[in-house]
Amino acid sequence: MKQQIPMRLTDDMLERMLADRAGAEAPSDLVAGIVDRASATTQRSESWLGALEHIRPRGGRFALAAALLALALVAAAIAMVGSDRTPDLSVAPSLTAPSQIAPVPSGTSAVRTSSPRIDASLSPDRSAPAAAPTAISADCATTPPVGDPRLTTIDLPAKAYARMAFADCSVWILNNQNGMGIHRVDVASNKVEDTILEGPIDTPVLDLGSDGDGLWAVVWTDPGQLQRIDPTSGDVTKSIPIPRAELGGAWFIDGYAWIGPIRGRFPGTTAVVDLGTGQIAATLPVVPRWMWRNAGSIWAVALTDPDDPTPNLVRIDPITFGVTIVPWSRNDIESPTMTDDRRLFVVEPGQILHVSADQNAVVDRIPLGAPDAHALLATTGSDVWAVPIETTPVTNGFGNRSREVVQINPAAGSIVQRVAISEVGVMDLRYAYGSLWILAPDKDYGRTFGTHLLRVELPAQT
Amino acid sequence: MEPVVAAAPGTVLRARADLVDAAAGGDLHAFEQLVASGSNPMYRLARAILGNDADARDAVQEAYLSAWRELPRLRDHQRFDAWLRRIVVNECRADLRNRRRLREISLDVREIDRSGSATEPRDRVGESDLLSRAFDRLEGGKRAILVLHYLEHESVASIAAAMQIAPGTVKWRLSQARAALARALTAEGARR
Repeated sequence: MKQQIPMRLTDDMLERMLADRAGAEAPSDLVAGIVDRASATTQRSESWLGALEHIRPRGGRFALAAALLALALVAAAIAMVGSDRTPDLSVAPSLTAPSQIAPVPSGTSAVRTSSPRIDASLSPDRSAPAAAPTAISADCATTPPVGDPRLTTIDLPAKAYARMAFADCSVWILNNQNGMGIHRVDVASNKVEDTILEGPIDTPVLDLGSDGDGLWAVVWTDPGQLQRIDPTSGDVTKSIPIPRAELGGAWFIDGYAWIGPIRGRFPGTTAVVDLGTGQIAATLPVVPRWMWRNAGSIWAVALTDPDDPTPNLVRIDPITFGVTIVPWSRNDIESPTMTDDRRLFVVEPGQILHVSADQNAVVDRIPLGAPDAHALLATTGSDVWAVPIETTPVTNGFGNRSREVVQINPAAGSIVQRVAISEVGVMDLRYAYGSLWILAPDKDYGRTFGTHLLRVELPAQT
Repeated sequence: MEPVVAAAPGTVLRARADLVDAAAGGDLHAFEQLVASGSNPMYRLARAILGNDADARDAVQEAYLSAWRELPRLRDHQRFDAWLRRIVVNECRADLRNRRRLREISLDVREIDRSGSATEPRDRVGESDLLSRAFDRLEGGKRAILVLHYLEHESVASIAAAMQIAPGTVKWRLSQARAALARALTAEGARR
């Protein structure tokens, strides 16, 4: 007679069994196999009709069709009454000759073989060189508002939303989509004044930063490259090769490029590349997720132990490159920012935490409203500003919406000021030139229809 | 504070978003990097659902190829990972459906070949193997939701997105799957 063995199903048992089934790592040749097959596979083109395929049947498509019809009627009504509002789809300013800013036709080929690589497109002998940036006073002085912050919305070429950098009294926006270029927003005119890189390109720029005078692009060639771009001419003035495997997140601080590994995890190190000599000045045994400069030190939220998946707070001596780890071990954080007096603020789902960087103690918790809300943070040095982001369900997933920018009193841990905005899909928040800069693509179900750069000029006293 | 040294929040994550954008525009290098950085978790997900290397490999390959083909039509590039996870789960479920059909055919063959050589000595089956065998009795949807919750530790919202079900039904489906696994475990235990 068979003996029945009673087994009680526990979470622990289930997790162990599934971990056993999952195994350790994918086969080493899996990536190459996938890429080989992809290289022989043509991508489908995007289309409005194609978009309908993503809508669930039974009502979804009908609702979308009805919405489109209603939209068309509204547009017709606006046209009839002579509204002069520019539709979002045509926000691109006339930067260059139309033929040069026209997007690449989609779906014609899986791989754009005829496109010039980035080096070529950045070369000084391009057919229509962008005009040199308008001279701006050295301190980038604009008249700060008195009393309340001043909000300005700056239209950017459609789909320009990848990255912001600040140099030469300008905001530089990397537009990676279809290689549309790096656009320069003049802080005096609040307009896109020129474009120093124009596509199409088949090599993406992964990141854009600044060393104060010049722009630095992280380029996904093989090997990868750090390319310094002269903001006044658009020319590449220096190129530093970096092995692809070491080409992860990049931060440009104190004359060095601090480059994390490609996968953002161990095995990997941080390469500290001297931007003057192009040589690796140090290799740090940490894997950074964020880095910043503050009060005489370089700081990072980084993985520090190959066996521990939670990041710690790391302080790096900019002279000796000595690393000091402040045990932190918070996994689900975003957007760390630190005031001049070393108050560290980070975002956790549903709240902003104020942490003492020296003592690793949570000082304050500032709720964000919804439990799954998150935020982007930036500091002026003395104050902290946040753009809370709500996650809302949409037809095919979840969308983000931000309704305000809030000022946080670092000492009190309270919100002291609110500036109303209404943006979908806020991507980045930075502070420079006495203003907050918010990169905000207009997104509708994920399709970018246009991009705004919001500028919040802060009163002088803040 | 100098703007050039301001923190670049979420740079690593946004670089990934850039890669998705570039891959959607036909950039194979960018796609390669996406695969290199994301195939391990996808493979583990597929292997946990399917239970063997060969099927997991096929499912992940097919999922990435589907993703490459359809990427220009992906409407929210920030949702690439969730979208890809959904494709992997769907590939796994499709594989299991096909496997069921194949099993029906092979059962017919086994009826002819009664050598019994396919039967493993049950005494050697350990606790984890027993549970794994019970897990193999579940249909694809139940396997997927258990893996997403107990292995991947995904949130309700993520599971809902991956399974294409309403968030409100995730917990119910999860409890159903777990109950089914408990029943299957009892049945497997009885077979020992």
